[in-house]
Amino acid sequence: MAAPPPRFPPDLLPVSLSGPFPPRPAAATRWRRCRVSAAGRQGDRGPRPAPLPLTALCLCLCPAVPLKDMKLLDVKLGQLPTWLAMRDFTPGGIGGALRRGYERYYNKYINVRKGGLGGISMVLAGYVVISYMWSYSHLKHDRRRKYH
Amino acid sequence: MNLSFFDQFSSPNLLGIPLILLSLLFPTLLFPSPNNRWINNRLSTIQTWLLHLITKQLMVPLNKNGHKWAMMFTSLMVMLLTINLLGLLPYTFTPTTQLSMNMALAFPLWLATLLTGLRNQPSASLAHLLPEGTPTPLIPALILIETTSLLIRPLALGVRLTANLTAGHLLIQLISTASIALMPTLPAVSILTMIILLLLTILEVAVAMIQAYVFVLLLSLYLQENI
Repeated sequence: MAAPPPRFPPDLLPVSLSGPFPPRPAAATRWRRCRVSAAGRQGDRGPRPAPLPLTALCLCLCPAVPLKDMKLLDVKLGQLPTWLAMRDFTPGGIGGALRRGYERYYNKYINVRKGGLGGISMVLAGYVVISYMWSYSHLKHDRRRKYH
Repeated sequence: MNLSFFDQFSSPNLLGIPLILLSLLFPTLLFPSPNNRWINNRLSTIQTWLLHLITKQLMVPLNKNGHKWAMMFTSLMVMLLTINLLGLLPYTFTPTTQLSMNMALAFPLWLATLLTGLRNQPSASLAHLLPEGTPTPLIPALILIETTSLLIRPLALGVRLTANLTAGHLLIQLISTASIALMPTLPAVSILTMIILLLLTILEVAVAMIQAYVFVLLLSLYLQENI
């Protein structure tokens, strides 16, 4: 009896937690037979081929999504310039990206059952840091020195 | 020692791009739009409670026509409150320390209340220029005085907000500079100054909230007279 094909759990992202936008299609990682193991089976046309030993199965993860829709952390370093060129830099695209980022932060830290001070404190701390960066050229003259 | 204590009020620029717009838009990030859930997250609940409190407080003295100004007043109040309180964080810029911005808020809104009154009930609006029970010889002088006080209202509104916030920020900077300067030589006096600084900061938080409230309250009072 051939070993049943390995089963993998479906993508576990619940739709309700994804915010007002429909969930991005997840990078479906389908297990594929490697070419090495498939080459030996091409000629088999007759009755059921002999089951391959487990060691002969090449388990290579070949993601089936096009480069355009891949998430940044899945992109290989060599593909990065191509990926960047394929991103949507129109005003609508940038607005969409900002909104997605905002929704991600909001749903993770603020729109939760028992949110605390941390969610908004991080935003305020980021604002303080950005204000410091903006006004640095003014502030660098305020150092404690004997002679200014 | 700071080169100039007024540097904190200069409008921030990054490579020539004025950043006051981003300082004005940042409060919008802090107020998420309420969703249609029965029980919201804690931040939305607190903000909704605050909005209801503000709106009730401002709209109770006004008649039905005045309730059309509810969104204007409430959003103005929330904006001023947030901007003033955010300005108390270190290194941040407070747009309401700029007289130009406060006059831009005060003047059109005061003018709107005045024109509403002159348009809908002109004689009643003009009658406000002479309080009841004035002795007859005083009437001309009093009309002049009341007209002046009417015309100076937008100036007073704008300058009050600017002066309070600017003075507060300046005081904080002065006292903290004094505290740091005294630390090597007279540490005890420095600690006393730091206690004063703590009390002043608490006062500034109160002033930030009170000034926002006073601005909007006065506008609603001017509206009450005219609507």
